Amino acid sequence: MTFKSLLLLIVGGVLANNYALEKFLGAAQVIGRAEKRKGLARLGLSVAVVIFLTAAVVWPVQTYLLAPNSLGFLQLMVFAAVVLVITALTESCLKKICKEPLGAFFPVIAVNSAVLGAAVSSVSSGTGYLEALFSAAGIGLGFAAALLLMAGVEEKIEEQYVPKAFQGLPVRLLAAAILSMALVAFK
Amino acid sequence: MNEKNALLKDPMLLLLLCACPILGATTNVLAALAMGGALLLVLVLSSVILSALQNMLSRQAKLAAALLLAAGFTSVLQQLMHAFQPDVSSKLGIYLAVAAVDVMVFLSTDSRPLGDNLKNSVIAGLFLIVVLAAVAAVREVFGNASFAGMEISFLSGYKVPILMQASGGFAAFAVIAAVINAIRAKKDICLLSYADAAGFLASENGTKEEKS
Repeated sequence: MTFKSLLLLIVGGVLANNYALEKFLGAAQVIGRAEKRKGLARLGLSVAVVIFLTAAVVWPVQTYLLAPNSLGFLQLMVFAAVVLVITALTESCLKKICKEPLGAFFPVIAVNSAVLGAAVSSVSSGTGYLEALFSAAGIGLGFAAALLLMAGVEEKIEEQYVPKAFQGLPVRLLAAAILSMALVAFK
Repeated sequence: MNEKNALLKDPMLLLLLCACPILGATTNVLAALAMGGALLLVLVLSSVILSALQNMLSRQAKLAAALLLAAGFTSVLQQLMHAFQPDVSSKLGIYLAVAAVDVMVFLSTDSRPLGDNLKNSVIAGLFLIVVLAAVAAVREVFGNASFAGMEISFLSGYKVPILMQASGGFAAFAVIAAVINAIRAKKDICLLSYADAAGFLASENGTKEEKS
């Protein structure tokens, strides 16, 4: 395991294995956001932090607590509880450091399939702790990048004529399809 | 409250919030139907328990309770599916696990009678099954020249393989969503932002996001 391979995990998480645009985890949040870019950047970074911290906690929980005691069937519930706790802690830290609570973002992050999906995949791939952390960092940054990419695309869509049947969700899904095609080039 | 659940009034929002299982579990019709059935079951069971507990929990506790309930029932379904239908379970993969997260969005966090919650959950679940089956049929028939694993020989020379990949999933879902949009013939742009859905979750009154 070299530093180069760890960096490739991050780059892979952002591009080729983008969770929102290639694996559909967190796609709802990426496609459905309507805030300005500053708000999206804040949301993306918050999700990235939560994904990273969640992976940091669930890997030892799975490796040293659940797996040795044959408690794998509790994995999902334990991970969901960890996600909730970490999201709440992130909100408290943001309130103290930045004076800006997560507010309406709290349920968006806690109910984010990318966070739970990243947690489950970080332990199921049988990788080491460091690899799980770097992979989670890539996944989080990839989610943030996908959010900002879709925001840019939506700005352009708003300037164009869209047939009535395709207004709203369908045209955004088509935009996501084209973005996803672009990312295939990195595989 | 006699008003319809805000999510059911706008199926587009429902489709948006369930985009993950709709996109991820629709490479095969059988897997899509299994995912739809799993979502319906988790929705119904979770809403029953949550309705029983709603008066004992604060607003924020309801969010945590909804997530943990959905996660618990999804775990049970995962184990059962792994035991009795390992092929389908392997096709669904991680999407069945994160279905817990997707499903809990529909669990009403406001104080509704059990009957309303149950009805809303069943309607949402059945709607999702139909959409999942439609998207899976389009992707599998035109992308893999098969239906529920059975090969369609006359289409095998006309496969569109990209439909089986991520971008094809988005495109197929877009077409189905456009069809639903056209059928509903809404006059306004019907997409509510996810913040509205999050606000719906966080609010006591689910009518906050209703359009006038």
